[in-house]
Amino acid sequence: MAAQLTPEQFQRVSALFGEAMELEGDASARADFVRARAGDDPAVEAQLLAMLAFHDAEDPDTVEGFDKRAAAAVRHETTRMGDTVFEGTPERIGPYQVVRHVATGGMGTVYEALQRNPLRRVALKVIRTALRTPRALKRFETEGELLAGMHHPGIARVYALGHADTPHGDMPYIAMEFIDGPSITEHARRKELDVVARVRLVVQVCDALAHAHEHGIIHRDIKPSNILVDGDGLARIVDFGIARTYGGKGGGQSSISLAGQLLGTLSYMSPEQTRGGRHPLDARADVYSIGAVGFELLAGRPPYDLRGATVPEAYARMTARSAPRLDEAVPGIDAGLGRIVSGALEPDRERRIASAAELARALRAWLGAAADPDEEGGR
Amino acid sequence: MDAERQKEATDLFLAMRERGATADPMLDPLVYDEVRRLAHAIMRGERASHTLQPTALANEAYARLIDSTRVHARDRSHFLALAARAMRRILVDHARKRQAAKRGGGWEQVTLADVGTDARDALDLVALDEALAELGELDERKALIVELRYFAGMSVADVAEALDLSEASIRTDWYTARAWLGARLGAGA
Repeated sequence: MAAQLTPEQFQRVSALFGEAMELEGDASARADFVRARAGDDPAVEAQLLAMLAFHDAEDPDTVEGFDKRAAAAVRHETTRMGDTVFEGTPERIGPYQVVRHVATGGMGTVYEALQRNPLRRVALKVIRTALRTPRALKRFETEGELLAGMHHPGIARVYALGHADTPHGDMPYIAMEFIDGPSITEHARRKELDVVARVRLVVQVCDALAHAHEHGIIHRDIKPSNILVDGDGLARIVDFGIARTYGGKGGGQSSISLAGQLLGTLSYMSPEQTRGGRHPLDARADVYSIGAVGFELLAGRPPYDLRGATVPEAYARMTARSAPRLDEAVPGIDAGLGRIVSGALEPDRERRIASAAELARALRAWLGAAADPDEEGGR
Repeated sequence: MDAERQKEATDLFLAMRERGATADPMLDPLVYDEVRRLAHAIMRGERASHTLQPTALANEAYARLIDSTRVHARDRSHFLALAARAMRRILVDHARKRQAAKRGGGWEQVTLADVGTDARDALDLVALDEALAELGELDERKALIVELRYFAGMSVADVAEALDLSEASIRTDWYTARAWLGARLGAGA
């Protein structure tokens, strides 16, 4: 095996190799040619001899040897990938061609899919096969109708609700806008956004959630990965309803769906969600979650590190003391902003900022003051 | 590809370029069909029953290309280069993950293809990718030819047409690149 060549040496090898291939005669004639023309550079000479030995052993006019083995490698990987992607994944769902499996949540699966007419990417949500009880199907439909009723730039649009006839039986689906962008925290990090820009993003999320709350819809799983920032820099909330507990009485999170949550999700969940119980959730659960996302945007970490914590441990830690303070995580952060974030993170929801709209108002007032250097605040 | 289809495709790329970054992100079905055609070309010679698998590759490649071509594809040959690169990346990433899972004690499902006649003789895709990356450092065009041939299933004639060069010139470069890879991977002889 020849030593690593420089691009100049490689160009020399290429030129001589082209000439050598044209030579009449056997391998020893080519070896003589190589010695005569490249004898001054042992690396070039060795490389040429190795390549000619390879080339002479191959039959260039048939797809044999190396080509065949390379083609087999690519073909096998393509086949394996197809097997993996399509294991349990339908090729088509209704009028959509499935591209890939995106995520499986507590009650449903999301696929990225292509619609042909008009040609566009869609996020296709289907209910899990195991959960396709008549009651769950009814709720899924109701959910879809509620979602379709929402029209807000900060919420991924619903394109269509439908039923697909599949080999696994009737499959109801919700086809939504596919948002291609990083999560809100990733976006802020990549763009190195300043505090004001980060707060503006949180305000956008509040506005979108206030719209949903007016329609009686609670998201229940607001976290950075469910808030994507599109190409226009607009925060878009996705996955309404997917995290919702379908087995419960419309109240607390069931232990089954909690067991299915990824580690870390607990970090954005309100204390009342981790406690479950008889009190129905209301929009203030989402207010807490926006607070937690906002805290992370400004502090670089969620208010509590709950990775690996059990649900009761998470509840205990969130309620052990008063609301987390932003200035403890970010020394020197504006006190007014810190008070607002803490207000959203109040463990007792009776003392928490009462609605997404109110949180938006408070943050807008802070932004107004921050824009005016004479006022208290700034950044 | 016949002349009319190629003209259609070329017009499409020109139109995409004019629309620029503000264009509707949804590309025409023609582009999707083109990616599908490339992915299916990879499976050439395989049993007809394997029609689903290349669709997975085509779909993922298309999804990745939707954004990059919209902004960057200068012309048809550039689009093909982007498509071949996307398919290479997807397949090599897949192979890497699979190998890592194997090392980690993960369980790999044996597929029909694995027990096929030539499965044992297949090259290691990750090693091929690394050798190809080295070749790219030395000679970008030769690496591109290999990429188009192996990862987009294109023939020497297809590559010559796409790069607007003579078949003879592509063939010489192709043999040179292949011999370099063969020697690099210790294959042949």
